[in-house]
Amino acid sequence: MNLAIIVLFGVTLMYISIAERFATYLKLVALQGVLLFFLAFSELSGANDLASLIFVVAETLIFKAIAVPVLLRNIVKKMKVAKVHAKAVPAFYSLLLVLVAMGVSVVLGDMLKIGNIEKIFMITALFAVFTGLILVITHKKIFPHLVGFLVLENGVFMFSLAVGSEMPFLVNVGILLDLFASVLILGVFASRIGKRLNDPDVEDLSSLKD
Amino acid sequence: MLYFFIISVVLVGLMLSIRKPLACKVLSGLFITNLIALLVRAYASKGQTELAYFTFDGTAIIMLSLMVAVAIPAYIHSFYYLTHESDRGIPLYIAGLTGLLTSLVGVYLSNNLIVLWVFMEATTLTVSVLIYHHRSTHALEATWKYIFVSSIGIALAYMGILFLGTIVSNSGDIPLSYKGLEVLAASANPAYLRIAFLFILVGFSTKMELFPMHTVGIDANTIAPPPISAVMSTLMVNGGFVAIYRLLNILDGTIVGQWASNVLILSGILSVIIAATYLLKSNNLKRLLAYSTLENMGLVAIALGIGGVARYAAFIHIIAHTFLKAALFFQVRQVRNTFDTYEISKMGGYIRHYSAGALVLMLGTLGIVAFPPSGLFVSELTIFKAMLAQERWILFTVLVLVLLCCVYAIVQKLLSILYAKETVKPTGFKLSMSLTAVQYLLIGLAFYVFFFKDGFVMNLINEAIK
Repeated sequence: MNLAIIVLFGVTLMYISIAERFATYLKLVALQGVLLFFLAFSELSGANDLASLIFVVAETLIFKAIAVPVLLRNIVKKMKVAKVHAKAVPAFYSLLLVLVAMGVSVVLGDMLKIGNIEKIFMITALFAVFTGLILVITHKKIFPHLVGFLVLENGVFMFSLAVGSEMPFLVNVGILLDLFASVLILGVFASRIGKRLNDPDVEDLSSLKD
Repeated sequence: MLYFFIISVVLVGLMLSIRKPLACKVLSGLFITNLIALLVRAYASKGQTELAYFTFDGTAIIMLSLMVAVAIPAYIHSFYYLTHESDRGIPLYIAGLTGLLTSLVGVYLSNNLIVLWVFMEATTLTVSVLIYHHRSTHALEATWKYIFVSSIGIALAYMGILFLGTIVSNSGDIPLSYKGLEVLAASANPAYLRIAFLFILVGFSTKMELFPMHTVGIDANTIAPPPISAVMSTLMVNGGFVAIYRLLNILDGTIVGQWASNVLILSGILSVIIAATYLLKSNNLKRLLAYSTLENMGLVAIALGIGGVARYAAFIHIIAHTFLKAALFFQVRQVRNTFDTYEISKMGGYIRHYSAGALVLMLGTLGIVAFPPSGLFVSELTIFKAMLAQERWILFTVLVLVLLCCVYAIVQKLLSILYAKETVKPTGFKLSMSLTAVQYLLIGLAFYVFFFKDGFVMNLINEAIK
């Protein structure tokens, strides 16, 4: 079961790297949220700490699968355009970059074997972190930057789940990161930047330079 | 310790709920008293741990003392700035500043990587409110960049902490305490330690204003009100320094200790090179000072990497830099009041318009370029000596050349404000002599560092680098 979820998560990462429509980003982020919810549930259901299980599972469901996609949908609705039409790098190259990132993740995951962490967890988590960073680097629009950050954060959360089956304390701290970043970043974007700029490019935010 | 946090949170709550400037002044006074009481307690209970996650060690006490020295003038300048120039959002500003200082106390005193990380996250939240104070498009841009890049940094640092977490998963110790990690790291998988170090270094470089995530700090310093820039360029970077220094201490006794030191040296030299490039180019007074912070933090990173006596120099450098940079940023506001611009090429003849402030700028310039008797002279000399003792000739040569560029740029630009012919008409704004007096005091402290031979501060530094 876990393996299927993780593989599906990996597929969403490949898809998100070549997606161009904002609505597709939105669906993929929501799907990742749902997948992480199932993963959190199945990973931590064996743990003794019931309160921790409820907390983690509720957080993934409420925030990752519901609140973040809803916030993103509100932002997309406010925008006048629905598609990324100005990429810093063409889709073919971003796919190539993502494939390289996958290769690097596999090599790193293999190198960094730890007895009690499944290799596939590590590889997918690293792959998500790299994909998030690639999304930020290869796009000029700010909306894909947001999505890139959320994907990166999902990768970090996935890794914390792998480590956290033994240290729930770390998973809870990861959730703090989630709440903090999602609320602050999406909140600022939705309430300030989105209002001032209907279709914000990074060029619109480059007045501060020497 | 618990009382400090409870009182601080209550004070922030009161500032936000009463929303009266006078009440904010009284509450800020109470916060400063609270901070001083904590410092006294820290001195009295040196070496002790409180609430399991906070320890009053040498590093913490030094940083806490610096905080008191900068926080008091920061509040004074802030109130002057808010009441004389901008009536916008006093309660939110003061509450944000109080929240930032409270979070930084947590960063300094924590003895646990996770607790440090949580407080570091809180600094991003509080400082964002302050960067956005002017509510302008520039402020929005700087705030957005700061939040976005800091959040990526924080996520990466958390990833690094998770890697460290894997080595302690089966230990019975308090999770991720520095002491516990030091013991466990010695027998840990080196690949994990390397990756953890890289992630955490990149993550916290946003706070220490060090390559590779230095850019957001520069933009934030440019836009934030000058008293906040002073706090960010000193107390906040000190927070980043504490985080990276604690991590380095954990790795020191391990097989990757030398590798981590070399990575820090690389990060440091790249920071100094980037700073030199932009110092020569920059025409904005606040950006100039922000790049100077990048240069100095680069030097501190190099000192940490070289190790031995250079670590002592790193602490001296941090102390002197804190006093000098705070004084300069405070003075920047008075320069701005005089010329109504931050563009250096438009300013000039400041010595005629306000000689007391010009003297602060002159002494600050000499201090920041490590001209004796600046405290930075002692630290830089010690760093160079340590570098030569280890026969790092290439590093020495590159660093000397790059620092010469920095000195040229800073002296030429800051002194042009004093003596060049101005192209804008001075505003005639009546400047406060008492604020300038506070800046003299800070510069005096930076010069006093030059004469440190032994005594309490030296003991603290020796304890911190033990």
